[in-house]
This record gives sequence, C-alpha cells and structure tokens, in this order.
Amino acid sequence: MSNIGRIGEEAASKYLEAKGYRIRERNYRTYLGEIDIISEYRGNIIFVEVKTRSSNKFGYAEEAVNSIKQKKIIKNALYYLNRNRLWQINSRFDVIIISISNNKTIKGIKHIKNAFCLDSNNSPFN
Amino acid sequence: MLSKLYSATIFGVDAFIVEVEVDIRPGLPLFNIVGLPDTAVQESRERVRSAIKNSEFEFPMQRITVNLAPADIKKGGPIFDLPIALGVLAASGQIKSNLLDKLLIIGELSLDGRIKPVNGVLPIALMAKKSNKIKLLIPKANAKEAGIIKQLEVFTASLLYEVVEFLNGKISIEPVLVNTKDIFNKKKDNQIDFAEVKGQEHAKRALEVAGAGSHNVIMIGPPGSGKTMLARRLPTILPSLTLEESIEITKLYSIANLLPPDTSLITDRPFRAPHHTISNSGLIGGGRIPKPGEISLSHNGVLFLDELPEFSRSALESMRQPLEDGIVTISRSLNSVTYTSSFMLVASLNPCPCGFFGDPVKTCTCSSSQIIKYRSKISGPLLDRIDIHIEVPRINCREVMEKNSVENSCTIRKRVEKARVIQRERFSGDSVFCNAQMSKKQIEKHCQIDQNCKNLLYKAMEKLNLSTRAYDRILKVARTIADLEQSRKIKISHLSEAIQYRSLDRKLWLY
Repeated sequence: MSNIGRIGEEAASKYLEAKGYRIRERNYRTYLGEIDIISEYRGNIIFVEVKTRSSNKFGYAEEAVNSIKQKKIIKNALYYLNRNRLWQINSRFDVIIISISNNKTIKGIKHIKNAFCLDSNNSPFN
Repeated sequence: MLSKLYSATIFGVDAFIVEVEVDIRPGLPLFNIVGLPDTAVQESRERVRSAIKNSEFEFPMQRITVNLAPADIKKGGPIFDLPIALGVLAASGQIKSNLLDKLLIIGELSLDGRIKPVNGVLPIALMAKKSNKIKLLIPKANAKEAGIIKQLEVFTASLLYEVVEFLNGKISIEPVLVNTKDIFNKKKDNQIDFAEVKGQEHAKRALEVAGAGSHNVIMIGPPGSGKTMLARRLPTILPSLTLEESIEITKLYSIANLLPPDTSLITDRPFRAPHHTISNSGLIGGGRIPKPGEISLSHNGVLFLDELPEFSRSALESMRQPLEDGIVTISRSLNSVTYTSSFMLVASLNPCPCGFFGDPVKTCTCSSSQIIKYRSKISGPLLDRIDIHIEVPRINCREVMEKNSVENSCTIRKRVEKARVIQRERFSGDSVFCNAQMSKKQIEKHCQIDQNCKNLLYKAMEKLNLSTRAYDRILKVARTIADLEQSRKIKISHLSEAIQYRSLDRKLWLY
C-alpha cells in the first residue's frame, strides 16, 4: 500500500475513535479482498472504506468507490459477519474521504454515512 | 433534498403531463432514473451531468434519484433533459425559486449547456392550455411553435445558465408573442399555375370539383398527357387552411419532426407525393413506437400517388379503411395510436403497361393478359372509394401551340373557396369540413334530389352496375357541383356531371 493511503487510513481511524466509534479491525484482508476499517457504533457494525486523494484531477474520490469495489466490500463484509456469528446485528457501509496536500498534511475529512447498500447495482449474488 | 417540477411528453398525437421528482440523499454518487425511461432518457444522465458541470454549476456528488410520474407509462426522447437538470440544481440548493413548480419545462441539453429544440411542442402547448398550466419554459428554437397558443405565457432560453439565472430572479425573460394573422397573411408565391396546362379543360374542371369538395380523384391516360402536371398544380387551387385545420396538421408534423425550423404553423395545404416503393408502414404509419405515415402527413391536404399500379398491392389495400374513416389506428405490441388522416387521394395511372391502350394514334403493344395483370393491382373496393375518375387523353400539337388565355389558379381558387364557404356553413357544428367527409346521415339530409334526378340515378345504377357506395359518392360529388354553382338544390345537370365522373366503373375495369 502506498504511503498516502496509510496516512489517510490512520487519520480516518483517529477521526472515528474521536467520534466514539470502537475500531474492531484494521485492514481486514481475506481472499475476497480488503476492508479498510471495521468499527462498532451503538451496537451497529460499520464497514468503512477510506479513500485518500491529493487532487481531484483524476475524478472525485467518491467516484472511485464504484460498483465493482462495492461488490468486493460487500462480499468481504458478509464473510466477516458470518465468521463472527453477527447474524442479528445491523450493519452499514461508510466511506471516508481524506484530502491531503502535497506535504502530506490533512486538509479535510468527509464522512459519508451509509454510502451504499446492497441493491441490484452491486449485489454480489447476481 | 427533494425537488418537484413538471414536464410533458407525447403519446400518439396527444401530450400528457409528467412530474419530474428529483431526490438527493447522502451516499456514494449515483444517478438513477426510474419511471419506465427508454434509452434516450437513460442517456440523459450523461448530458445532464456534463451540461451542469460546463455551465459552471456543481453536480452534487451524492445519491440522486429521478422519478418520472406517472410511473406506468413508457417515456422516451431527450425532452426531459432540461427538467432533470433543473431538478438536480434545485434539489442541491443551487436554484431557489417559487416559480419552478408553476412552469411546464421541456428541452434537450447538449454537453456544453445549450438547450436544443425538441419535437411535439405544439401538442404539449395545447395540452398545457387545457390543463391550466399556463407558464411554459421551452427551447428558444421552438418558441414560434408554442407562441401561437394564446393565453399561454411562453418563456424561452437557449442556455442552461440563462434558465438558472432567470429562475433565481437575476435576469428576466420576456414571454414570446406570435401573431397568427401575420403567418396566414404572408404572401405565398406559387411557382406553378394551372394556366401552364394547355388543353385538358375537362380534367381541370374535374379537379376543380374535386378540390371544392375534397373528393378523391383518379386520373388515367397515356404517358405525357399531363397527369402529373395537373396533380402538382392541384394545391394552387385548394382553399387556404383555417386555423383549426392548420393546428391539426402542425400537430402531426411536430410529432413527426418534420416542422421546418422557426415555423409556427403549417400554412400551406400538405402535398405529399411518396415514391411507389413506399412500404405499408411508411404509407399508413408504424414502427415499434408508431410514427405518422404519409396518409397522416397529408391530412387536410393532398396525397398524390403517381403510377398507382406500381405501388405494392398491400400498401394500397391498407389505405382503404383510412380513406373511409379519416383516421387510422396503428396497433403495436407496446401501444396503439390513432392519427387523423383525412386526406384527398389523387392517383394517376396509365391504362396499360405500355401506356397507349385506347389511344387514337399510337397502338398498344400489350397483350391482354399483361393489361389484366396491370389493372388487377387496383382492386374494385379501392376504386369504389374514389369519387371522380378522369380520363386525361393525349392532346394534339395544335392545342399545345395555341396560346389561348386560360384561367389561372387564382380564379379557380376563388370559385373553390366560395364553394367551401357554403360547405363550412352547412357543416358548422359538425366535425366535418367538406362534402367528401359527409356521413350517411348527412348525405340523406343535405343531398336530397327530386323525382327526375332519382330516375336518372336509378338508370345509371342499373346500366353501370354501380355499388351502393358509388351511389353515395355520386350524390356527394353532385352536392359539390351544386355548391360550385351556388345552387341550393341538386339539379339534373349537377347529377349527370357527377355520374359521368364514374367512367372507370363502366369502361375499363369491367370487361
């Protein structure tokens, strides 16, 4: 993973902890892919994808989390929930956008709650 | 945030209102259109996205859902680009206006934010008037089309940016006004005139009668005798359109995307002369999503079929029902549509494949089987629906060279218009405009004849073996001839002229 990404993920988990989220996993990697942060907040499981960008020249960070990426995250999340027997729990997918400047200082954090959910566009089952 | 505005779309010849709802929720960027959109509406997402960005506005990076209600009717075309774009801008707080839900908005967008013209503006404007949506926002290029409907406030724009500024109250747009009188009074310069046709006086007379009552005509004669020339000059003697007729025609042209740019109304009677290779659906109308065909495009005008036997038989036969009813219903799996198609059929043909059958000078070289085959293309039922049959024989050189002063179109037209005025008075309150459109009941009411005439007609029916439909049609033509002479009663001279216009019934087809 690139350096910029690591800085962003660090900033994102600090941000979440400050908001009262409990971090359960960082970089949860299975054969299905990777989830950047898995956290818990008021009894809900929150899967977080962190995107770090230094410029929007190549499109917005939001756009980078497309349906293919979403599908991967969803599959992996289902795997995690199953593994940990969290069948009766509510969960949610968030995206955190970290924008950083050229000297690696953090310019802004944008937290999109409930950024996507399972629907026909990103369902791993079809 | 949610925004709601109104747009419209076309179904058949009529328009209906479509509510465009745009909802923006937090989430990953997603742009969805629901409410049975077709491909063009789906692609509108890309146009809206680029147009907003290139007009220096911000396209929200959130979850956007657009709903087109009523959700159960299929919607097509790029007509919703502008309302969707404005809905997105309003839902993201970039437009703050209480005017938005009072407007009926239509328009296509280009990627750079220009607003492009769309089809079917006139039907939409008519519907807007009916459903009391009196404020319209339309592309500038369509201004004249909607402007003719009085009581409407029509705003036009050519840029998305302009519209947003207008809605935010930063600039003002003056509503369009079009004077319908000016359009009709515009001087028409006819390139062609009936005076150019030398001789053929009886054919001209027959065409005058046909024009006066909008009767169907068939012309038969050897090549080069002037059939096509006569037919092409027919529009010059037809009366000018009334506003209602003009609106009916313009509606069809607007839907078929055949309205010339910057035109409010079609003011000339349509004259359509399709090539004989035309397909059934080209003639009648059709397509997966039905479009008006030539018979509808010549509504209130002339449909000229040159070389009638060259047309495919099924195309000709499919014209039978619209010829009688004046409307055509096209049913497809997706939907069925009814178009008006009350046209005047003018057909021309040669008497045989070589063209010289019955010619006094040149001998015909066709075998009898060839002639039978040629003529069998035109069925009895079709011929029965044609009121006036004209023989256009070859004329000799002397007649061509003689420069007799002949009547020009203007003089004939005046007589025709007088006859039409009588007809309009007669049918005021009915849905018909001219004698040819009379129903059975109206024939009984308006075409009463005395005993002498009855005797003549009875004899003619016997001798010529005429059908009852031909009987009705003879009465209609006789009525028109009487109208041309400003006579209230149908006299025996009128009737006998009408009977002699059924020449094909006895002469050429029945042997």
